[in-house]
Amino acid sequence: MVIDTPTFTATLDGDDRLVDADPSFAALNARAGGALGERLAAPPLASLVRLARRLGVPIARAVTIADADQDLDCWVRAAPAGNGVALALSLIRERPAWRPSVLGAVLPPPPGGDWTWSVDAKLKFEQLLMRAGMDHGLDRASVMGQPLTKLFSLESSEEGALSLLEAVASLDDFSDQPAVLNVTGTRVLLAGHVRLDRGGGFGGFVGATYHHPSPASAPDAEIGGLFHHRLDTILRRPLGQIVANADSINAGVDGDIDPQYADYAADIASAGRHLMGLIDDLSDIEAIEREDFTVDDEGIDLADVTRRAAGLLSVRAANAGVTIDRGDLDSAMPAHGEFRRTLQILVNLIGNAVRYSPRNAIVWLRLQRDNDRVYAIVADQGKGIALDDQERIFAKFERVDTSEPGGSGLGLYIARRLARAMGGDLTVDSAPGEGARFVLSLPAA
Amino acid sequence: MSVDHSDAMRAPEPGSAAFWAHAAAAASRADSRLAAQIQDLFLSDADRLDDRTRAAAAATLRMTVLAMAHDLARDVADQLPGHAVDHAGGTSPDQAAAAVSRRLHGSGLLRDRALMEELFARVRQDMVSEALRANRVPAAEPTLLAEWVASGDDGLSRAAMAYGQAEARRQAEWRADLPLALHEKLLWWVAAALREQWAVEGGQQILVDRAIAQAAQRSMAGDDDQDRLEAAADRLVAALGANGADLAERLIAALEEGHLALFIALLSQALALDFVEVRALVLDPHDDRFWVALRGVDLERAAIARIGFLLADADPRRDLDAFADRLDAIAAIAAPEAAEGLAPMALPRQFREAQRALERTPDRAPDRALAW
Repeated sequence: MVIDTPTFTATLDGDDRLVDADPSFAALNARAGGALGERLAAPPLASLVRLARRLGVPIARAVTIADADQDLDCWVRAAPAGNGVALALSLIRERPAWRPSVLGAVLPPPPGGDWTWSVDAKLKFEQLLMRAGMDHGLDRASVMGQPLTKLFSLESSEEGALSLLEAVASLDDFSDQPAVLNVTGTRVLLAGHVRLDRGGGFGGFVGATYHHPSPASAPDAEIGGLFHHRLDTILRRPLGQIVANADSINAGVDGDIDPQYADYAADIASAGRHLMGLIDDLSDIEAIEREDFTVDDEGIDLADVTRRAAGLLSVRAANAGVTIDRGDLDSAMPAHGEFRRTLQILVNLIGNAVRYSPRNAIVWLRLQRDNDRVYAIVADQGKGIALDDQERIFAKFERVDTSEPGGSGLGLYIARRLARAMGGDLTVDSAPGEGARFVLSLPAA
Repeated sequence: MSVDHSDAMRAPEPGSAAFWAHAAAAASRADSRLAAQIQDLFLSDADRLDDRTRAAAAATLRMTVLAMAHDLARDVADQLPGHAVDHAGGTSPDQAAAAVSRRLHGSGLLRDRALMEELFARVRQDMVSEALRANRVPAAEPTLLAEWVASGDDGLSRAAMAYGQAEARRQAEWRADLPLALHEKLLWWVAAALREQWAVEGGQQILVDRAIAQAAQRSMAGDDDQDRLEAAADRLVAALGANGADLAERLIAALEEGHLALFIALLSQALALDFVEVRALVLDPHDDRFWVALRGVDLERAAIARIGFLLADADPRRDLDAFADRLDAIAAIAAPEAAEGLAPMALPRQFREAQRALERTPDRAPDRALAW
């Protein structure tokens, strides 16, 4: 019986408790909520192990396990071994897990429109209809139940494509659909968010009409460059001067000064650096939110990047009385990603960990690898993050505790966007009073 | 939603005589429906057919009857002189077959115990076989039959190929290839129903009857019981003979690769019992004699465990946990005792059936008028 796919193994004792597992199996089990010394977390695995022990013969069957947002189809073999059971799990395929379509949740229309509308699955206007429609010469009552095309004459693009119709076929949102408002002859642009029905099929659009469409939203490389250029000349240079001067004053380069003024100068320099950091963040955001933002796939060694990030923050950590426990960074962890961006993420994570750790605390850096991903884990002993806040911290400009000195509220947002742009993700595992573990995952190379 | 009882091909026109007759009969139809519903309510769940079996059995029965009727009708139409066929309403073989099917379903003849027993067993055997195949190790090469085909022994090689072909045919066809006796019985019913369809006036009738009878006999002659999967399985096991290989290994391998008919044939040959008897044991999740049978061929605990696991995963009616609980007790049954326990099954089938038929009837006091 040869199965040519990755196989994970584990051993269990006479009480069906996990005594040993290879790293991949352990990670899979842990993600499902299990641990060494306990029964297996995934019920089909646990029952197969129990059966093997009671029957006393090797047995095997196909099992599907839910792992994060994937379903894993596996072939699992359980064989009695000594007092316990030896388990071998071969992964056949991964599938994205079934997602229930969000019914009843109010789907917002595309923003910024002059008035909104919605159509059902047959593209007929529905009850919950337009807000300011009447201002534009429309009689609400006469439009309800009418087909979309009675109100709007859709115009096709140069290639003859109608983005609204394509969106119906591909169950997608659409935007920039040129149309003419039949009643008044006004040219408008339409955009819509698609609604799915219970079976995952087309359920209509919630849309908006734009009377004064903004100029083409296609990213203009020149504009981007202009922004950067402006940042440099207008913002960075003066700030750089401020910081440099403040540093000199603080250092007493031109002669002794009152210690109080030295302190002021130090404050000025620090604030200036903070602003520089903010500008860097904003510039980053501007870059990563552009449609044509890409990252290079240079093939990096995550262990190496982590070492460097730790090194960069070693002084700051020492000043804060925090120890960085590097763990085993000697074995290489090849991954797909851009060196500069990965370093940026890790510096952000470790920096946060250091900032939010009390004195004499430890920040742990650990690397893991499973099937096709590598993970860098930064764990701290800070005050932890409440469950409600755990999504907020990744949002733009969010700070959980604004009284805490420190960042701009952009670091985690940028870090996660970068991680996702590289095909990975950034997640957090935390609870109040129990510190926080941030996990950066990247595709393994 | 199983056996098709639609007896109205065309609904009678409102106001016509047929309409009033139909309406008048509504009361008696309501009566019989109530009787059937009362029966349904009190039927215990364990006695019910599961949905899959019901659907498969109904479909198989329908297809079998339709196919038989169609073939017979076509054969008869070919043989009969043209005018006789015209008299028969000019119905095509398809229409005739559909009418025959309805007539037989409505007549109650199809409620024949032997026929239904074979039908349910066939359908369940096919479903469990399919499940066994679905549960195979992914990307595993089935090697059992291939090895035998490639062996030097001609007889074995041919038998293994024949089994493989019969299995493939069984998977592809809806229509049941029934054992000879049942096939014959059903065929004559179909013939009789067809005769009713093609009732003609006086002198022509005997021509039609003769043509139908001849067509039926031709069909019987062409029927080869040996092609059936069960027969092929028996022949394969005979060709394997006592090859020295472990019976337990073969049984397990047969189940692992989804050859349920082979499994049954192996076991029945080892126990010197009929295929049909052993099949009934294998397919009945609540019949403990199956485990007794496995002990009867002196299978060890490990082999019984594997067989139990494979069958339970393929047959959802079996309770795997309960089996695991009882495994030790089963393994403790002494082989000679097991053989003894199975001895009644070795008696002639008809003898046992007659015993059961007698048990079903009440012991009435003899009729005074016939007292002697």
